[in-house]
Parts: sequence; C-alpha cells; structure tokens
Amino acid sequence: MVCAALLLLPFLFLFGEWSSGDPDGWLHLQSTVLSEYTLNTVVVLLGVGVLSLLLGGGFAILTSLYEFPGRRFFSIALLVPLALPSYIAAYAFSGFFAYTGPLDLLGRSLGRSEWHYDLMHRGGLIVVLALVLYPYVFATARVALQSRYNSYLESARSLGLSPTKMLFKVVIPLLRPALAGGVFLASMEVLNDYGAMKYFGVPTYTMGIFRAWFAMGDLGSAVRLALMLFALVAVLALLEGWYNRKTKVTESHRSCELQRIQLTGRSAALATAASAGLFTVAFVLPVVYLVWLLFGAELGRAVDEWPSLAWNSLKTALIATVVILSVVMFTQFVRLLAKTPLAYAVGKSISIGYSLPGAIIAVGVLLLSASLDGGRFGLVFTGGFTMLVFAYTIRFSGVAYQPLHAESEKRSARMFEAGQSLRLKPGQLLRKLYLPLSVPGIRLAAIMVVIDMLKELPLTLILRPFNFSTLATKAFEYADDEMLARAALPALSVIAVGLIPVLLLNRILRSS
Amino acid sequence: MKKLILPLFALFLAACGGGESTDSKQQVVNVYSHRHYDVDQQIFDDFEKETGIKVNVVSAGADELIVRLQTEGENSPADLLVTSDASRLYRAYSEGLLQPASSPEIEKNVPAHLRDAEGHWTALTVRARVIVYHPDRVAVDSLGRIEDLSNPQWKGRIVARSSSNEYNQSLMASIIAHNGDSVAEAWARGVVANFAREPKGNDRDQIKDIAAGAADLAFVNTYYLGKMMNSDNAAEREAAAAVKLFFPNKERGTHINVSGAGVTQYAPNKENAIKLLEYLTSPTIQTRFAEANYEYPANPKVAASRDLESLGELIPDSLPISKLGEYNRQAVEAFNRAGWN
Repeated sequence: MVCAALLLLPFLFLFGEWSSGDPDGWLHLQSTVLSEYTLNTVVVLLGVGVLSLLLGGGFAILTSLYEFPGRRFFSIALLVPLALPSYIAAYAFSGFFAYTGPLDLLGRSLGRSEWHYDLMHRGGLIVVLALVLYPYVFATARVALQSRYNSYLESARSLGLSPTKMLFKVVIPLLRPALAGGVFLASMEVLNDYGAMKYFGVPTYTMGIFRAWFAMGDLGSAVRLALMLFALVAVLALLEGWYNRKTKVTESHRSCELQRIQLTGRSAALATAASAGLFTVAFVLPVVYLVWLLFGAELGRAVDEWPSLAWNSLKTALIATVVILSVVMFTQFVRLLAKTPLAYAVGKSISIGYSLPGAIIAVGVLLLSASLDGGRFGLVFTGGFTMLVFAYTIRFSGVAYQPLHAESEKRSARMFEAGQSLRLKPGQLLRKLYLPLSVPGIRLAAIMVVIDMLKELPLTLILRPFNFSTLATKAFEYADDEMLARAALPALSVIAVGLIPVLLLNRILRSS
Repeated sequence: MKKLILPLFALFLAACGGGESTDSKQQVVNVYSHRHYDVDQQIFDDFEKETGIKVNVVSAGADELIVRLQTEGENSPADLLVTSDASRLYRAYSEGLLQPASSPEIEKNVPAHLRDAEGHWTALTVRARVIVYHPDRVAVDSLGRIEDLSNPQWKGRIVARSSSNEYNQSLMASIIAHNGDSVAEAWARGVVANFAREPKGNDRDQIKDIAAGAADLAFVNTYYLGKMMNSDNAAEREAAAAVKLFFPNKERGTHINVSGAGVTQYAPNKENAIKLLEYLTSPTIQTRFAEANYEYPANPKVAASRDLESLGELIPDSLPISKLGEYNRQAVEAFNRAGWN
C-alpha cells in the first residue's frame, strides 16, 4: 500500500497542476494544433499496432507451427530488433535513405539519382517504429503458442482439421489475448517515443506536452495533454482487459511437444525468404549502416569512456531490475494474500508509469522530491542515484507487472488458497509457494526490464547525478548534436549489450 | 539458472557499492549543461588541471535542466547553467534561477551586448542562423531579407526543420521583435505555403535535401555547414560543397543566437563558477570553441575559424539577446497558428 502510494505520488503532484496556468494557453492549443496532435497520435498508434500485429503475430505463427529451412535461427533472430532503441532506429533508417546514405550514393555512382526516397513522413515513422516494436507481439505470441495452447492444437489436428482451417478456427482465436497483450506493450512504447517523432516531424500528444510546457511555459496545458494521453492509455488497457476476459481460454497443463507442419518446395522457400527479409530490414540494415558510419569516422570521447559507459548501463539496469522485481512481486504477493479489490487495484496501479512518457515521470519525481526538500531527507534524495532508481521503478514496474501478474494469476491462485487453508504463515507462503511458482514469470520480467533499462533515455538524462553517462545517453547526445557517426559506437554497444538479454529471452521462450 | 544467480548477486553488490568517493576538500564547480560537445569536456578537464577545481557535469536539454533547477530550489547543487540558446538563458533568468555574478575579467572578455547588464548571464559563443541555397537554382541577387521568403516566388522551394527546435523559435522571436506579432505570423504563413515538404529532420538534413534537389533553400546555423565541410564522411563533404550560404538582412544584421551560461541563484560554489566563466571566455578557450565547433567566439579578440570566415562576413543583428527570450512564447504561438509544426 505504502509502496504503491509512493510510486503514485509523483502523478498526484503532476496532475495537481492541470488547472494551473492561464486558460488562454489551452484555448490556443485547441484552436491551432490539438486536432493535428490527436490525428497523428491515433494514426501512428493504429498504424504501428496493425503492422506489428501482422508482423509479430504472423511470424510467431510461422516459426512456431511450421518447419522450414532456417526456422530455428529465425525464431531467435526475429526477436533481436527488440535491442534497438527506437530513436536510434529512426536516425539509422532515415540516414540510410538520406542524400548521404548508401542507397543514394550507390544510385548516384550508377547515374541513377532518382534512387532517392524520403522516408521521413508519418508512414515512414509507422514502419520504422513497427520494425523495432513488433518483437513485443512476436514474443508474447510465441510464448502462448508454445507453452499454453499446444495441446489444443494437437487435438485439433488429430480431429483432422486442415492446416488453413486450423489456423483460422483454432490458432488465431486462441492467440487473441496474447496478441492483444503484445500490441498493448508496443502501443505503450509508441506513446513514449519522443525522439523519433520529433526527428520525423510528426507532432503527437507526447511532443505537444513538451512544447506546451517548455517552449510556451504552460504547465497547465502540458498536464492536460498528458491527461488526454493517459485517458487514451486507459481506454487501450480496458480494451485489452475486456478482450482477454471475453476470450478466456482455460490453459492446458498438459505440455507436449508440438509437431510442426513441414513446409516444402515453394512455400518453404517463401517462408525462409520472408523471415530473412524481415530480419534483414529490421536489424541487419540499421546495424550495418551504423557499422558503415564507424569506418573512417573520428569516434570522439566515447572510445575512452566506453568502459565506464558500459558499466553504468549494466549497473543501472541490474540495480533497477532487482528493485522493480521486488516491488512488483511484493504487491502481487500481497494481492494474493489479501484478495481484496483494494489490493488488486494497488497491484495494478503501479503499472501506470509505463503509460506515460519518461520525461513526464522525471518531472513528477522532481516535483515530489522538491516537496520533500523542506527537510534533510530531500537533500539526500534529489539528484542522487536513489532518485534515479525510484523513477525507473515507477516507469518500468508495468513491464514486470505483465508477466508476473500472468504467472500469479494462472498458476498460484489455487495453490495459494490451498496453502492458506493449511494455515501457512505469509513468510512460508512466500518462500514455499509464491517464489518457486513465480520463477518463470520472474525470469521473463527480469529480462524485459533489463532490455528496456538498457535503452532508457529521458529519465537518465534528466535525473542523473553529476558525471554519470550511460551508453544510451552518450548515443543520444552525439545524435542530438547531429554527429551520427560518433553516436554509432555507443548505439551499437547498446544493441550489442541488449542482445544478451534478448538471447536469454529466447531460451526462456524455448524452455517454457 | 542457479549458476547464474551467484555471480549476478555479486555483481549487484559491487554495483551498489560503486559510489564515487569524493574528497571533501576537493574544490568543485557543478555544471548543468545543454552543451555536450566533446570539446567542452576536454576544456573542463583542462580547467581542473590548471586550477585544481573539478568540474562536475549533468548534461540534458536546457528545458529539462531549468525544471530541475526550479524544483531543486535552494538545495540545488548546481553552480552554473549552460544553455545552447538565448531564450532558455533568458527564461532561467526571468524565473529567478540565476544571480548577478560578473567580474572585470568577464566584462573584458565579452562585449556588453552579449551579456546581461547585471551579470546574470554571459554568452560563450555566437551562432548565426542563415540561409543555405543551391547556387544553380537560386540567383544570389534574389536573396535579401529573411522576411522576403514569404513571397510566392519561393513556392515549393523552401525546407525547414520543426518549430519545436529552439533555433527556429529564436529566429521567429527576432522577427516578432523587429516587425511585431501580426507581421511575423503572416510571414510564417507565407513560408509554410512555400514549403517543399513538411518541416522535419535536423539542420544537416535540410542541407542534404537541398543538395539532393528536394528544395532550393533552407535556414541553418552556420556551424553545421562548417562541420559538414570538415566531416570524416565524403558524402557529407560533397553535400556541403553543393550548397552556398547567404547572410540575410544586411541592413539590420543577420539573426544571431548565443550559447551561454549564468551562475545559479543558490550556487554553493559561486566563486569557482565565476572562475570557470572567466576561463571559458578567455582568448585561449574561445579559440578552441571556434576551431573545434565552428561557432563564432563571443570574445571579439578571437577570430572565427578560417572555414567559417570563408563562408562570408557576419554582420550581427544588434537586437538585445534577451528579446529572443521575451518573445519565445509568442514565437511558438505564431508557429502554431501558421501551421508550422
């Protein structure tokens, strides 16, 4: 309770400001840019949602249910774009297509200057974001297909359903909750993006918040925009929840090895080509472009500072993950113990932070710490590592909530009741039942949080202590100064370090 | 998994204990900076070598740093706020976040129009926002005032970056200061009508688009062209060579912006902050800013880099720099009304 209240406090401070400022500011936004913000936000959300659903869901089904050359490789490889921060992807893709990019250079050297494509528009933004966010859908769908529903699939097959019928009558209906969950995660990431949208010149709520607040000094309007964003997220969350309830599937506990359908001839070649195509576009292309930039470039201080940058990235990711998992597991445990609607609401509410742009959370945390600054406590708190970890906890508890909640919901609820009826003490319940039962969820949650932490930018930028940089902040600073070649080394390092948890994630997907 | 847990736990403990031990006797100056160039960090390192005062830095956007300063209030550890444009400096000043802190040395180094009369802030470098154009498609005689770019003769020929960018906001603020709100808004509408595409990208992207033939002219800060001319990347040098640069508004002077710094209201190390300001405005360091970053030095005793000089002579607008801050909000509102995203 106290825990969740602490995590929610910054929002109270922030939302308390909604009526501040002059009403003219809001009227001005309404009469000028608000409709454009709304349209862009909705179009980008829908676009990325649909595209990542098709890519993530489609390739999850392909790599889980069918056998084709390279399937094992692609079931890992298609997860890998998750390691690319979206703003890095935005710079890399637009750089690839720019006048100075490899495509234009090749075109000009062949006398084909018409090979110029301008990627930087709303459609381009949707594609770029979907290419780095579809793995959320891919991962959730694969988990569902492999662990939960495979006995249904086996029975469907033994009933003699044709592959096409099985796909539409069994697989897709079964997958719906998982797909909705994955799309929800991807949508949250879209709403959090600021760098890519600003660079591509597509103004959305997120951009509007910063503009109203910083450039116009109108905190009231900024908070109203944030509330609108928040309302949008609430609608999405309700939709997802409603959808999941509506299509509740009892999970099969019987786990069996799924027999994949062997693809042959043209369809096998097509499956391999499509997988290879997606992997190439979403990962190989931006990474090769960044490596290409490294050649002949002066790399600046990022080289000398590399060990400390990498260490800081790892350190923050690790500490924050431990704290976040402890907090989320604790609230989940209390919820199972108390079984009251209040405990449920508390457990769920800590994931609010995932739905708001990081910079907003940063400022909420600053406002909170300022109000504590009357006493000595504030001095310890402000600008220190503690504050940073506190902010990470607010931001990423939602990421850990999904897998941990799913686990506690599915496996332990009944066991828990049994344990309680045996009059086990809470400590025993925790040690003997909750922790062992949550292990798969903990692993998944830890890895998701680590990946997000490595890419994290706005909180670290705003709240960091003196002389503290991570790979992500360094990459951003160089890119912000329009020195993409220098940004390439730290950016590639973020991707390389991020690959470790992504590969671990794959092992979990396989073993679960 | 179990094998992993022990080393991970050890790593976690090591990470938790990894706080830097600071020598309490060490002299320090704490800087919140929006300038995060490599050369800045090298200069800070040299300052420590020469004076024994360690420079601690937090770098982030000026907007965020100002919010951080505001909320930290009198407990803020920051001594110096460094921004990369004038309006943010002015906002920090008008919100009462800076204090008067000058010295004869600073006053000798920086001319009066580039610093606050009471010493709340001083410029470190000067940036000129100019027109780049493609010499094959634009006759230099057809260029004059920046105000003329709203004329229909430029229809479909102009590109610009988003008005969320502070350099565009300051440019607009200067146009409001000179011509008033309504003229400035009409100008923005005219320019929007002349855009070859939606505003996007950064300054270098505008230059590349002109080289690519997507448009004929754009607004950029001079140093981006300077950096592209000296890029490690041959394609960037080629793009820079394809365009020419024009300093508009010869009569009243070309719009300039500054990167600058001010001592914070509650600076715990005020004297060290002033020492750092003196150091940063000194001729030696100003030369390094000019050479490494192609910015115009704030110190008139120091010449601009040769590359920058080769681009043409800068006659700076004499508008008081603080006006850029005063009109910043009006500038953004004018952009909003004109549909310049």
